[in-house]
Amino acid sequence: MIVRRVATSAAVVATVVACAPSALAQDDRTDTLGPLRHKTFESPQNFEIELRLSSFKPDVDSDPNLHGCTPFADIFGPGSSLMLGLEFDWQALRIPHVGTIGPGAGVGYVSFSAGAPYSGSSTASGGCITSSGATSGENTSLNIYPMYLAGIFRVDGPWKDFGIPVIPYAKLGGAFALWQATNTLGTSTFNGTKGQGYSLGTQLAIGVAFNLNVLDPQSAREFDETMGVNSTLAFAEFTDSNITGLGVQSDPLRVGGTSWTFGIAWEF
Amino acid sequence: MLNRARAMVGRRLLFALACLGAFVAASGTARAQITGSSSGTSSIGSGSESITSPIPNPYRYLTQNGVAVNVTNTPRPQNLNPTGVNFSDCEQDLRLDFPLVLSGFQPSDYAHVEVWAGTVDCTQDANRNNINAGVSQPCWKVAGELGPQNAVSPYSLPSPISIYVRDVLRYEVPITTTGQNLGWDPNFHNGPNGEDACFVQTSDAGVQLNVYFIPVQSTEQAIGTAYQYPLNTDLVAPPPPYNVTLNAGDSLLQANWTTPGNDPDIVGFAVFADPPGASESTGSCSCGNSVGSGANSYVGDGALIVPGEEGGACMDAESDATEADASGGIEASTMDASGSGGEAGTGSPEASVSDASPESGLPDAAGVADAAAGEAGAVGTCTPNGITVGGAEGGSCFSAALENNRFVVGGGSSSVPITTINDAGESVGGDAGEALTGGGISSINPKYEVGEIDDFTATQMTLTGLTNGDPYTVVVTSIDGSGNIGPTSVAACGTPKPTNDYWKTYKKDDGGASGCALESGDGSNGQVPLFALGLAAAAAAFIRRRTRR
Repeated sequence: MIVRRVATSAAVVATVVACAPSALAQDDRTDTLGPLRHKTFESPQNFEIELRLSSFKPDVDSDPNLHGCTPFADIFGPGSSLMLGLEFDWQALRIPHVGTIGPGAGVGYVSFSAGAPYSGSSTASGGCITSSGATSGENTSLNIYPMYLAGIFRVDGPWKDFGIPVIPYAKLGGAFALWQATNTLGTSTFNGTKGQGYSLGTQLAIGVAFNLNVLDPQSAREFDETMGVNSTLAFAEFTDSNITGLGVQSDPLRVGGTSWTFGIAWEF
Repeated sequence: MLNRARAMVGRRLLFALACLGAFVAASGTARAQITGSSSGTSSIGSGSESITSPIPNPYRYLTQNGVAVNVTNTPRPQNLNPTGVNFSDCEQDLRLDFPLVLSGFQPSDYAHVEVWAGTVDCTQDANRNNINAGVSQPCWKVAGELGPQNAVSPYSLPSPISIYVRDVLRYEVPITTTGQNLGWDPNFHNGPNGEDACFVQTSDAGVQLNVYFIPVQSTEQAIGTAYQYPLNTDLVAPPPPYNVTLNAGDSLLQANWTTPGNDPDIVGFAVFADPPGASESTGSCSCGNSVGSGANSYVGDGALIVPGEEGGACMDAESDATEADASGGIEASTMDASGSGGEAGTGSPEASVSDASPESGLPDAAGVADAAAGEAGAVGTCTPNGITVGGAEGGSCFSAALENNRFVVGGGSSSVPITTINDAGESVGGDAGEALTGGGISSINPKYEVGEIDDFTATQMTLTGLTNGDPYTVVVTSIDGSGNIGPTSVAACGTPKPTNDYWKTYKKDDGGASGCALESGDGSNGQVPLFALGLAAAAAAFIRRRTRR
């Protein structure tokens, strides 16, 4: 009996030993996905879209022709207004282990509105028209539609290679802003000059994004598999929109400015 | 056998009596039964007589300058009850011509055609016949009878039957017949009392009356099928908005008001403005040069401008108030500075006006000192070519610019007198009327209408194209779904003044930007944002990539 048990055990061991290499070999020979079996699927990443919010105030009163007068502040006050924006980027070139470079385009909208003061209550002081007394029932507004085309360098190598969710980036390009000054009757006019036009300038931004995929990797994978969205990011950005004519315009309405911008982005 | 025969006769007799009773009962029921239909016919029961009309609505004629003008093809807009009756229709003695087709009029029936109106079914004999004095009779005649007709085959009357809406409106409510003559008076509609019918309604809710063309036998019993025409009438407009204020701007005034509550009759508002300088726009009060928040503030449930007799007191009456002074005119009761009800007058007309509190820039009527603060403000004098409306703080003046227009006030009952102001600002016809309940009517020359907004929730309208420095007087009225213009609000005065908007301020401060004549209009909306193009391209690429996967 003991002999039979020993013989049986030996046979089992021999079988296992004999089979195991075969299995491994088989695995090596037939499992084409072996090296990738435990790696997460990721769709190609080429673009990014951003929803942007910023507290913005244009530098219109910095016009040297105003000689220190501040018509914007006099009418609309010292505060800023909420700017809404959209941006679309093409991550055209990927530098392995570093990040991406590519063009991007953005557009936004911001509006300032207040009651227009009576002319009779305005007095010239040091060459500036200052308003005092009651405002009229007439509404006056300044609407700005800033747009830009910029090159964007995004350092997402650490995220790709090591899973570090912080992605710094920089943007540099040209800006183009449409603007319109209105009153209750429509576009304002003065001495035959219409209060609407465009201004040119430059756009510079430095920011950092935080990849939200780390908060819920499972959902992030599913989002990628179903919609092709590689990453969802929250970002903060310091933007300097220097719209002073770009050397082409002599006296543009200086509707640029600096602001902090926050938002959500999706890479796909 | 005899007993059996008797029993048989008895049973047959009983059966015959039962049948006879059933027949009588059925006949009575059929006669009383009205199967009125929306198509315009009411079957009265037995009888082949039938009256129809070949057109869905009658021809309409308004009396203008003494001439009947056919307005059938120029109706009001569809949302303003074009086939109904509003106050203006009644004022212009609207006539409705009904072409009719008769058929089945058997000579043996000796049936004639009667025309009745009422809020109930007038084909019911009981609703037409004054059975007992003191019994309410809900129908009344509105045209003369058409004699006995012999028209077995369909026969179109050679002339349409004309009905004047004043005859229809004359007795809008069931009448208590205590010896009152209900016969149709062909001279009522254009007689001295005909216009009274235009004031029979007391609330701004519409009333549907029905006109019946009924075949009637010589026994005064209706027979056959009558033609019924529903007539929607609305003669009273809703009360006006209140708290009317004006914010001045550069060649514009922004009128703001508070809507008069939840009145389902309101479909919108009309704004009237009197530019100064017109020869008829003078008065002892002049509009102030500054209007801001607080001036002309008035809190109430609607004010009705009721000019009093010349030299007497003008009042702005609460729309639900009824006041009369000792002389039969209007009490000099006004709103005080706080907007609450004023004190009653002494019966003798006030000879002067004073503000409840001095208002800078708003002079009083000439020769009158301001009342002390807190005292009730009296109203001003009615002067030729001007009507002073007091009550609001500081007093506001309305230069009525009465050029063939007037303010008409009435209501309550057909006997309520009308106050009419002619071009000279003199009261003509009747005593000062009672304040209306729930609404009223204004008749204002349309040339003073500067805007109308068909939104019952609106609280603002901007009047543009005005002249800076010229004072304007503005009133706001409610309008209803029949095109009635209601009583005016308390007037507000305002003067457009030049303003410095942002662009003007920037340029006056020597701002260098010169703007750009972007041909697309406002420029910004004519440019397609670059991002939009990029977004479209990205979307296309994304879709293509998803398709490949």
